[in-house]
Amino acid sequence: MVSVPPETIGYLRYVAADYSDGLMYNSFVQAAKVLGWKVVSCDGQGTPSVMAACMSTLISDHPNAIVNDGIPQSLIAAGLQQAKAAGIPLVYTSGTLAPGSTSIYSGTNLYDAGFTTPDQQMGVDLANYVVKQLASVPGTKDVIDQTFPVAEWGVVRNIGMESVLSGQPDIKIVASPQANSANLVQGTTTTISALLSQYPKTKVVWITFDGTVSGAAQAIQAKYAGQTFPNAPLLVTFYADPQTDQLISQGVVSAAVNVQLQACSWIAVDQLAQYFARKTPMSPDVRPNYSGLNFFQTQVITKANVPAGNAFPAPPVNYVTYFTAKWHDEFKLP
Amino acid sequence: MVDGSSSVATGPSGPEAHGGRSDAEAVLAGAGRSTGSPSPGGRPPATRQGARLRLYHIMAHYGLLIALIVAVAGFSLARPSSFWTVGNLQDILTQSAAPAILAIGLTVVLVVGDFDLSIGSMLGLGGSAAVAMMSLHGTDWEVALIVALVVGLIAGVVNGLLIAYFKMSSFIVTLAMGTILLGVNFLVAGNQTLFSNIAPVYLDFGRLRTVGNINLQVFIALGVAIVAWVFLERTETGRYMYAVGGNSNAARLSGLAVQRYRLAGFVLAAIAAVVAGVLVTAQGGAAIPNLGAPYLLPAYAAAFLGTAGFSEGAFNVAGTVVGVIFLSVIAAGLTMFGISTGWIDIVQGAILISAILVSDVGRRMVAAAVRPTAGAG
Repeated sequence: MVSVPPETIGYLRYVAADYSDGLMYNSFVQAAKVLGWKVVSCDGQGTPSVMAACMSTLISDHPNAIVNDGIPQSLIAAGLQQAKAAGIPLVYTSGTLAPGSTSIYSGTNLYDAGFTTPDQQMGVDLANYVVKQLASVPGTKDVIDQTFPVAEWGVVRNIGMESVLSGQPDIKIVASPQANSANLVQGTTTTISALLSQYPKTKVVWITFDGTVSGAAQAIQAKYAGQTFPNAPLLVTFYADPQTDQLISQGVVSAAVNVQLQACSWIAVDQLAQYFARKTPMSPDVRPNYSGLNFFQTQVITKANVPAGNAFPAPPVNYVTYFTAKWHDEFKLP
Repeated sequence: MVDGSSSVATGPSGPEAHGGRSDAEAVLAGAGRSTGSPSPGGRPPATRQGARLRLYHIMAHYGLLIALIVAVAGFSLARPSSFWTVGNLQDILTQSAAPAILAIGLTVVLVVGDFDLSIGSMLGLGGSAAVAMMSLHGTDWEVALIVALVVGLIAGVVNGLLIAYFKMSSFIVTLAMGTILLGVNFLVAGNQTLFSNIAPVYLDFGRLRTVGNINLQVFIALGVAIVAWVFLERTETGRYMYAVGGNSNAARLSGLAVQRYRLAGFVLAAIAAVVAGVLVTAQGGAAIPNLGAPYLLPAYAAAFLGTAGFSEGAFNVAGTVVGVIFLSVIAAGLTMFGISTGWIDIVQGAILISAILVSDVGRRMVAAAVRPTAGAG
């Protein structure tokens, strides 16, 4: 057994108002608390200038590491370089961040480690759900695919989806509008409304970035009030957060593929703990192997299995119990 | 604009918004707002010049409406089975409703010669405050609405007092107020998306289908537009507001309570923003942080587009409403052509510049042609 030194971790939040950001941050704090660590946070408010100011503030506190929830290094490069020069380890936890990332050490990566969700696999599993639902619908089935190429996780989710649909000759992507980052909800309503008018036989509206799903829901509700699939299109997206759960319960959203995003935070704390306590380098793998356990098992959430009270779905593999027990076995805890 | 206020140069009632008219013309515009037509007492222009003037006159009065008709016709011909459908037209009207109410409120502020950059944040805060009251505090929807309206009233009064009475720049005050309201919005909503425990009646404001399967929002917006039009065009107060915006010094010397009219403009704009926020959150069934940001610039675009219609360069409710619908038509039509969001923004911006340019050139041509005849007559 070794001791884990009492560390202070700086945590730069992408947008504290975002639900997923909250999930990751709160999980990180919960995990850090088990080890007796202090977490100092700063809200980047989704704005590069604020993020840069946050980085400066966090660095000036001389933390033992700085973690963020998936901020592309291009947005905070100066801060990352400053931290690197000060010898502060840099870690991110998020959806897929680096292109085709299986390793974050390629290229000019400024992060020391990153732990991410399997977004491509999520795209595959959601697409398989779509294919299954469409099997009973005769003829060619039109799909509107709202993409989000701004983020790498958005790109790979679509790669996953396309890998499945490419083998389905009767399913056709008729439009691929991009979500407008500056106008997520209202912009999506406008776009999806127009496209549903143009392609009235649409059977699926695929929303790559869940932040826009309520906009698509408004468009579908307005056009297909009171109707359900196959008379109305399937509306599918990623992550069963409480608002999406409510829309699933109401039958507006058909399905959301979910993984335990928060597991990234627990993995990050474990990797940092090993690094601090044993000087073990952090894993280059974005999803390190923990006894073969799959913390990122996908779940397709539908009306049939939506959690009571619109809660975030319970983890199929309980990483909280796993890591807490692991740390009690490995470390002398405070 | 007026009263020695710092917004003289930047206010929309300045030369830029009135096609380079003089103060005297602008005051006339405040009273009747019809300076572009040839003077009845002037010598009749030559036939060719007269035809050209009539064309300019038509463009200055109906340019926007013609552009809307052309856009609708063009998209309908290009996409007859999808654009020219009842469903699509209903969608366009529904999506135009809340932005129209916001832009109408903004029009009132612009009429009195000020700017209000806080209306986007006010929309967000109004919607969030109403939803937060129900979602976080369990109040009835009526109480939630009253609270939201009171919040809007307070923000509008503060804007108006600082700008009209303390003679601060409307640009700077409302920019700062927008930031403050955004912060309050985050605090009120607890920095999260609110979507639970919203009263069904509240949601009906944004979702209920009424006569002809038309969304209730459309009728609410229509009602607001009619009231605002009557207020500005058919009441003494409205005409005084135009006079204040046209030349506030002249208005003040005429005995008008300029400050009071300017204050009223900000209050009405804030109330309209709250109403728009209520409709947006009712339609979406949620209040998201920074909800109002995407609504600010389109409101300005619609109001400025509106100066190219009906009223020869002056801000007016009918023009603003047509401007909002025009922008929605362009967005829907271009989306159907598979044009990316970036290009849609570029096209909308280019249309705005073109509309103002055509309207402005038309007015200058008319004014230039009329000047010598008026002098001779």
